[in-house]
Amino acid sequence: MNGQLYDGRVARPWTVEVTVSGGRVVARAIEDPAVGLDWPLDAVREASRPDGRYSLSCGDEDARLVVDAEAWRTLAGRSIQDIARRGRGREWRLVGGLVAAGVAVAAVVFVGVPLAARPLALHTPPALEARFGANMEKQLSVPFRACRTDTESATLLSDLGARLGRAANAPFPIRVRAVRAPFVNAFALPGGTILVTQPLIEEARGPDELAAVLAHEIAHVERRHAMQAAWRAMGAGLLLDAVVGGGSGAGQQLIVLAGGFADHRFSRALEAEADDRAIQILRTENISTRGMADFFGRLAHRGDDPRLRRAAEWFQTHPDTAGRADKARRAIGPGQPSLSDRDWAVLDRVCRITDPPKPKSRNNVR
Amino acid sequence: MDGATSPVTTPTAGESLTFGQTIEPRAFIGLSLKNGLLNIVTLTLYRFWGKTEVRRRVWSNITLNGEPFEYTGKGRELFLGFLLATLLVGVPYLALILAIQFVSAMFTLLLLPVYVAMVVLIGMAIFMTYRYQASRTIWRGVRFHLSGKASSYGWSYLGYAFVSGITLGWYAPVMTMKLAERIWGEMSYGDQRFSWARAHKHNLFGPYAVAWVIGLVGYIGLIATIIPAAVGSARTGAEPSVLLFFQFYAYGLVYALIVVLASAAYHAAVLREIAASIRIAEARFVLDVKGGALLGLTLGNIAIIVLSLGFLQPVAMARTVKFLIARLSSEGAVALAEARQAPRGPKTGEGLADAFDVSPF
Repeated sequence: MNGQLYDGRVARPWTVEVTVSGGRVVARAIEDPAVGLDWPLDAVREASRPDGRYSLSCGDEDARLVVDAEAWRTLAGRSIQDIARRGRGREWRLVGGLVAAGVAVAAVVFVGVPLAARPLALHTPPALEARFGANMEKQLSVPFRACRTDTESATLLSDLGARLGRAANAPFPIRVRAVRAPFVNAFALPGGTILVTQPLIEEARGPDELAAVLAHEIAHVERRHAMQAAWRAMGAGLLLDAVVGGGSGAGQQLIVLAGGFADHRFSRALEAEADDRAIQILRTENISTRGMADFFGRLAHRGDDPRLRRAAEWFQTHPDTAGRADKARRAIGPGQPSLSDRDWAVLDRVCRITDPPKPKSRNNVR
Repeated sequence: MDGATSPVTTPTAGESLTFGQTIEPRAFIGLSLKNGLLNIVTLTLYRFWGKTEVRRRVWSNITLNGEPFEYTGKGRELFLGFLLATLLVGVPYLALILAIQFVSAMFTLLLLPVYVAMVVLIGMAIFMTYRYQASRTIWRGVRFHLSGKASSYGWSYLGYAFVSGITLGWYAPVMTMKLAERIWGEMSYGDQRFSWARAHKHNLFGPYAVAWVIGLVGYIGLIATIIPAAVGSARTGAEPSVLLFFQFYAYGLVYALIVVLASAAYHAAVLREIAASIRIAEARFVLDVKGGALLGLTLGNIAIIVLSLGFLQPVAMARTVKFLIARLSSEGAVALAEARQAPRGPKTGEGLADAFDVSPF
């Protein structure tokens, strides 16, 4: 049969006679027998052209042999299905390999990194963690504005934190600060800083409830959970960013969701560990765990209390609050109030004391 | 050359150029969905192969004098380019960020030179993308070739960007043309060089001024709308609500649409002027793109991409190429059949462009 050859050297077409024999495809130019090609049939690939013909190629060679599709199939003894199957076989192998690579990356991100995070955190020099925490606190001060620190309320809050911190074996001095945020929560940053939100302090119905939350966060600091979470987030984030790269949208979003899910499930174990330790810390300081039981109990039954809708954030980061309230209830023993009524009344106002009055008052608070 | 004995019309010394295309954007929906699904199950690792398949399909549906183009790039080449860029750019950058976070804040001082270098790298990425795609585009068995140095393009890019900055953007039209010259003046088909002679047929500064003024007024309007809302929220002392952020995003979207609207005429003029400035032998090009039509294309593409969450991006690309090729014509002859093969191009492709997300296709 005849075909049209582009020999990959000059951009002119040659009319060629195409033959297949002995497993080889041979094409010779009709007007110049010195021009042509000789390819092993097995290595020849077909690509469909918009005009319905095939463009044949072989490996990385530049030459292209354009042939009538039906005549070629007869000549080469390949059916349409054969041709499609060959392409698909390679594609399946590629996709299989890539899925395996994707699963491997996911395994490292969701299993390997979390497993490595704890030993990494325990071996992080405290000075490094403190510096990291200081940077983080600086960044968090933008979304969560700090309440004033030069008031008696702030001092009472930080003293309570320091006292509980001494009862624990925290490798860092504990510094507790109140911040403004639209939700009930407290965070332990790497390096010993604990941020408590204004709504949490308002939600607490007594010093022991606040002390319970602080003890819980201090336990996170002592066990270096904050650093562990930081390593986990950094490791997973970096790896995912590296794999996903720049320009993909929906796939990336999915991974982020999956990452968040794995993150919460993992923290559950850490939360339980922090609760157990918090109960010990409270006992050391002779503070009853009734505060913990009450606070968690109230959050768990927030359905009754519209004000507690703000606590949704708490449940995202502290799963199974009801179960945890039960645990605290079982641990209830006698104790002294962690602060006097007078001191609690002062502390409770920590975020209501605003800057010295300006022409336009910014007194807020619901 | 003796075409008389052959049933195929052997081109003689010169031929004029007639472009054609058989692109059917709807036919890319299936491929888009397949690529999207494979991207999900492979943690997006399939994207290099997906992109390659889309290009192969687009290229093969564009014809010049009845003969289709062919894209010969491979997914593996894009993947290796990506790994290379991650190693050479991503790792050092990460090291710097970690040094700032953990070692000393003094490392922040390095950020300025790093950001300057980043602009040079973006320029290099653009050049390398053109070079890779040219080397993977063949027609009649002969490939395209972009000569010149990526680094030299990168430094020029930095210089032009700097001048554009200090002139508040008024240098941008000149920058665009000078960069186009750096590409098209260095391009060849086989051993046949393209050349660049600025046509000065289409006024760029007029439509640019319109876009600039509307863009600025819109920007002031945007700021004027956002600031009172932000200040109002800050004054109450309450934390900004989610609704407020959505509101800001909505303003941003409106502003982006205004910019698209105002700059369509300018972008159309740029396309016409670039095409009019390119030559190969005696052949000249006309790209008949009007602002209104370009605006329709752009808005349609934005809608397709946004509504499909990015999944139908290949459809948008097919629409764009179809739009351009359908409006591309040429006058004058060029001895295409005498073009000899160009050297092979780079072994890997577009890693930097992937890292900075600047790939045009």
